[in-house]
Amino acid sequence: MRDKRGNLPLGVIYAVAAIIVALAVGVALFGTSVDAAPAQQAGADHGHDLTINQPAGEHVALTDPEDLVPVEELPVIKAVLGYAPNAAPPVDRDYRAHVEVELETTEEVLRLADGVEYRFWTFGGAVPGPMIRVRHGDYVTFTLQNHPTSLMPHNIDLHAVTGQGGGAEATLISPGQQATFSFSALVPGVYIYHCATAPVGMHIANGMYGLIVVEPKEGLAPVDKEFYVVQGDFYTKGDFGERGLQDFDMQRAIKEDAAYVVFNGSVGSLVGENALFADVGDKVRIFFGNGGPNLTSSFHVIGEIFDTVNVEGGRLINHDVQTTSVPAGGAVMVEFGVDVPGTYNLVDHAIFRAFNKGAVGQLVVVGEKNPTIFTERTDIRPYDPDATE
Amino acid sequence: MTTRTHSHTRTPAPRRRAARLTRRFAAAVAGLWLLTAAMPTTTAAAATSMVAIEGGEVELLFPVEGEAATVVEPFRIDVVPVTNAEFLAFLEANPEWRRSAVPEVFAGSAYLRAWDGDLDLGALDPSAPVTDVSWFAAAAYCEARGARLPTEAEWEFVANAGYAGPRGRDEAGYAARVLTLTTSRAQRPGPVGMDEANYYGVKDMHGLVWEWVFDVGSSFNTGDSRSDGDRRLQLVCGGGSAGAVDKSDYAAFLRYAFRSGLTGGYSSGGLGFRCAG
Amino acid sequence: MTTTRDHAAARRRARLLAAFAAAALLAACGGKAEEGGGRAEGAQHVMATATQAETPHAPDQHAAPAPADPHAGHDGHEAAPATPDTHAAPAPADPHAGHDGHEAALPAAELPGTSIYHLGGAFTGQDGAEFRLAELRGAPTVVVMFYGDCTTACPLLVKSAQDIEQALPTELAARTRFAMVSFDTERDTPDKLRAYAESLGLDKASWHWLVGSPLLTRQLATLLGVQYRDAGNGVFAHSNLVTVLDADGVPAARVEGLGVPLDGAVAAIRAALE
Repeated sequence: MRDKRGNLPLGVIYAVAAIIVALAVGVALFGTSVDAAPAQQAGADHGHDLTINQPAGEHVALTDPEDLVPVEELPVIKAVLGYAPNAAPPVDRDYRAHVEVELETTEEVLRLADGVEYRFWTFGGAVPGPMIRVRHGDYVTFTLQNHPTSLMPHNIDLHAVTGQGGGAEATLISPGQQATFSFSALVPGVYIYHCATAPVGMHIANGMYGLIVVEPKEGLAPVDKEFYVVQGDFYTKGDFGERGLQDFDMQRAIKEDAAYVVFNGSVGSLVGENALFADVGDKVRIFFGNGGPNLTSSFHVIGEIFDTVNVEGGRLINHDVQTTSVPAGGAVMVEFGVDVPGTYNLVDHAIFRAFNKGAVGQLVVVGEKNPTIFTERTDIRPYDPDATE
Repeated sequence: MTTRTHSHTRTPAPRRRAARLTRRFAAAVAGLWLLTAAMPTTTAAAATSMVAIEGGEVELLFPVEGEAATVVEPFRIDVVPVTNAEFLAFLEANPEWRRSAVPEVFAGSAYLRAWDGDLDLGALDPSAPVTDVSWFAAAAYCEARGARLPTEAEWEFVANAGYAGPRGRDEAGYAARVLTLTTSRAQRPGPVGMDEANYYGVKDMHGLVWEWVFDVGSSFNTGDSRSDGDRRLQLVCGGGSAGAVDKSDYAAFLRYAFRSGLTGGYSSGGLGFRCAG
Repeated sequence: MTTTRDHAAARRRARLLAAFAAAALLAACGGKAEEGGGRAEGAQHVMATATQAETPHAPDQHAAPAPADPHAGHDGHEAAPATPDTHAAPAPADPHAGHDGHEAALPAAELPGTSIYHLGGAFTGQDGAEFRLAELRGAPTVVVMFYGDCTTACPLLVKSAQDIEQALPTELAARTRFAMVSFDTERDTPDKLRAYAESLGLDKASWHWLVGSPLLTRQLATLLGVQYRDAGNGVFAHSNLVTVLDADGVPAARVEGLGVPLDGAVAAIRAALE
């Protein structure tokens, strides 16, 4: 093809150039099938890897074949709830299902602290309400029941729901009624649910919150212990510790002047004989929520460091964290290994809340000591800087 | 010997007799009048105590877009909610409203469910407010008495009164007191009339039961207070409610939230009523 | 502490805001043709509780007379103005004594517990005569609540009812009844309603334009699940609902909102007639 001087004919050069240009334009416009797969894979790959490089706003799409199955053909499962401090059991299922959840709202006088009672409004008769656990992509049919002895109407807003009010309008019910609605768990994460009946602040302040966990499709890594803890602030007419049946104080709530800041609805709920237990060597996971209504929590476990923190209950994972910020109406999932025995205090590190308002709980770890990691005191003696040698 | 001690001449006998008879007749009439006035009347309207309310502008929690301020005309309202005993008397005279006879459209299956029978209060206190009654039953009761249910505006007008003046908001600690009354009601309400009367002389507006109002389907807010600015526009044309006026009036929020979910056939152990007229 | 001046100022602001919002609202409302998605309370709740068989009903189902004339035709055993329901005679043995015969002449088959026709009060029709809902028994009825001075939604509601009539085959449409009930008990007199009907060509035998007492109107609205409020100056804020009642007055279809497909309503009527 080449001419006497060894050059390619001009026509060939033009033709090759045209082909290259055409290919480039074609790829730019239409992409290739090779490109699509990595994006999908990256999308489905959530949970434990650091994915901050994911383009902002990209949705974890539900495009597996199982996500296209009509709802009527899904197996129906009744949700198994977790009652704090016990988490709901892991989903342990690799297929999509139609999950049925029932929650009941009640109003009852319960212990807030020693000698102190409070008229709580609850999901499931306790604060926090039960933990709900489903799998990413599940179709959930939710029924809310308002006990006939309630005085107030109630409803629910689940932060895991995409749709009007998170379910609040669909589920507004008077005492002695029940309501049902359905939703798809479109996004994995750890979410708060709470009552959203007017006045919302009061319903939340009286204890109407809990967690719903949407596990990623591949599930969460197995751990040895899972716990369910939700912080809340309480506003009573009397100050901390004032005995008797305390009333809600609206002015204090508006001023955000909490009398009590507690885990799981009462002072001492995770202390002493109510403490959480683990063994040396365990990997511990805590689903930690903050019902508020007002205060952000500075969540810390004294003597421990979180190996991983699903920041704000989402996909972003942080590592080696001492104290994590959990906003009101938010949640977090933390994991850490316990290496040496001891009593590890869970606290809100806004420290006066821990010591003066009740925001302290205990994780008691039993097992063999390990002096390489930690020794107790090895020496104590007088110290006098003025002593002559 | 007789000494005249009287300075006047003695009245003739017939005139004395007439005077005596007149006095006795007058005494008899006065006595009968006193007797009938004191005797308890049999008509329900006279037995139920009502007070006059002068009316005026109502401060509604949710003023309505496009509406002038709501004004209530002068009206009368019951001092206390209707009691079990009064409702029982109504059922005795109106059998179609008894539990076993009432059609389902007018009262659901929870109607009077705490009663032991159609006309048997069982363990319920006759002087406690009647509850577990539907809106239709409450409206019928008031109608039978020649009265009616109060409108929401009228009810709120009375509810907004303090103890010392017509505006509770002006009284220190009023909001907190009403909120406590509203949220600490007993499961089974106690007898009516034990509460301190408010400025208008009305009792038990907050501490015993929720109460039906005439215009049960007219509060257009949803129960979700965060979205109250959004008035289901496509269902409702011509009005609705904008944001609340006084966001710290939690007791009012609780009332509005409760009313927003009500339907005519519903009943509950914490829901009673009183009449107006 | 807020002063009177503050109140006045606050009221002025509120009114200004309200006026602005109202203008925006009316503009939006007039232009909107979408249907709503939310649910309305009312009849739905009552329907939802219909699990048991119909409750035993007092043998006399004839309506009590309107409150204005409590003793006409009755044996005077009742207390003051009658309840909206059945005759209050203590002895059910002879329920027909002294009635003025306005009821529909039908076999006394029991009215289902969920029938709207238990509401026995008397409305006034466009001809000025008394009309009780039970007279509609025997064929399906389309019920709409509206008011005469409404210029935005109500004409569309009435049109929806007309559309239903036109969507039916002629002989079925002829057997279907239409009850148009006004909220505006003060201004919508029978004459005004007749004029309204005539202007739409709907002053026909099968179309009943009704107005009743404030209580009766509220009772019907509560039964149907229609929300309404007297906004003053002849304006009513109301929800938009077309209800189809079967031959016994039990709601068979509800069309909420404006511009919503009417197929369900038409199908319910056909089912009731065939």
